[in-house]
Amino acid sequence: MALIPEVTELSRPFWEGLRAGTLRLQRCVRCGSTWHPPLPCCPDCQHRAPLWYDAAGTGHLVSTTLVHHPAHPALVAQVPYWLGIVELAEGPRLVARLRPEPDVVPTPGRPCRLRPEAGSLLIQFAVPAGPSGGDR
Amino acid sequence: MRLRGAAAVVGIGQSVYERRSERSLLDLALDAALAALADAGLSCGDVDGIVKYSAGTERLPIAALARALGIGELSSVAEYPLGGESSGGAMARAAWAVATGEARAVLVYRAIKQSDGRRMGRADHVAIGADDRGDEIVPEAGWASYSVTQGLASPASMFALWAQRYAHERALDAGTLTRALGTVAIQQRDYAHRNPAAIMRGRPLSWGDYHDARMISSPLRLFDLCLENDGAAAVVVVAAESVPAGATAVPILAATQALTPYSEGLSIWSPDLIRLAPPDAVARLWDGAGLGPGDVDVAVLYDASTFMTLRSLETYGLARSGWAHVLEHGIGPGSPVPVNTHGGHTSEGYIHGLNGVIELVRQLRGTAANQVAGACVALMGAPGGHAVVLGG
Repeated sequence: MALIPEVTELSRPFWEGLRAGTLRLQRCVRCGSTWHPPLPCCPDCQHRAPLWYDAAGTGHLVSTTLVHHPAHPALVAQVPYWLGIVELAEGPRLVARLRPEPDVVPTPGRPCRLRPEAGSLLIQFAVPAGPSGGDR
Repeated sequence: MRLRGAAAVVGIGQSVYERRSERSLLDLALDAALAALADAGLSCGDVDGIVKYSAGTERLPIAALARALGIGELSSVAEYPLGGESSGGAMARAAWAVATGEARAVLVYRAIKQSDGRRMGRADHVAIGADDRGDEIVPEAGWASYSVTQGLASPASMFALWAQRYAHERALDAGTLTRALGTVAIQQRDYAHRNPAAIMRGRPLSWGDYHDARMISSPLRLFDLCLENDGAAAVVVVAAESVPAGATAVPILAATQALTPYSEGLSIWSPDLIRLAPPDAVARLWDGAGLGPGDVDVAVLYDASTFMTLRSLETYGLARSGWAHVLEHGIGPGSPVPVNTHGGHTSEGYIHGLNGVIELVRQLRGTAANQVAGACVALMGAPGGHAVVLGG
């Protein structure tokens, strides 16, 4: 058993993209604003026809937690797992599952990059070794 | 137009708070409502306004409570679904209803029964269905599909992400943050130990108990989180000029509400992850009250987690640095501003903020179990900018 997203007309491009290994975001063709989660209009100028585009899949960690307590039966076999808020290079933030490389503690500020897994609806980010970054 | 005491709390009431009640939600609500009316010296027929708030999951319509109380018609009703964020808004709605004459006496209530399976700390009830493989479908509403599916399945993890970001921005090491959070947990438990109504009464919490308890979502441990329980609380609000003979009135100086795109469960998407309340709402609160944080004698800071107590000290201006304030002074008796003197949501019970309002009414009446000597001004500060200032 798993927790899976409701897929709507609005969100289908996001989830289909993720299943194919791509992270998609929306952008306003009028003012250039970009955001996540998806909306039917631009939150800055209310233009009604946002454009989907492929994000680079790079970013840094805003915050992280190691979840020990499974709050749903579907998570029992997965704890403990690292959960994070990722700020993408394009600006928007995502809630993501973190996959730190061995001996890496995924602390805020660390760079991270999308780790696509075909067929999966988990938004997974690798957290590589290296300098821990700033963002304070 | 400002409230500045145009309305007052004249009655408070509560049910037994317990982990698991055998009684119905309506029974619990009646316990609180009837006690509050008796405290106010009013009868059911005097009530012409009811304000309810909930987490959107409890199925007790206002009409059902009105039916049980025998109230024929209400001229003022409101219902807030935002959970604890609504505690201040509900008080504001009641205060303005009586101040403007929309109603003469407004009952504000919060009844909660988590033992029926809808535990807020779990995601068991989130799904809107299942697919043919038995996978549970998380709704897009409230953007849950973008967070719960990734494993952000409990408020505890959200609070943990706040706390970890706070530690990062303040350059706090894990040990220092833990000492600050643990101080809040332990001192709130100490208060609860002297509060006859507290669920955790008689269960003192040592540093070892706190530190060795299981980690729920790092950096938060078991006792950093509020209780899940059953119970109800109610208050009665009337206009200042209509205080019933014999009632002990506590004036409402200000009550604020606010809503932003990042309210309640959406805070995880806020560009400023640790901004618990919009700054304008806090400014409105103090402007409305004609007072400032330095005037506060006793506070209830909404604590779904100990981190929120610590952070709210800063949000509402009671301390420049929440963690440093807690480590230097604590929040116990004799601290500059005693906080959560009922034990808070972590140790008295989780009635979503309204039990905190009741505690502050007791403090200002001089009848609290952990009475702050000479308390004149009290603050209830919830996340989201929902807050109440009470005082004489």
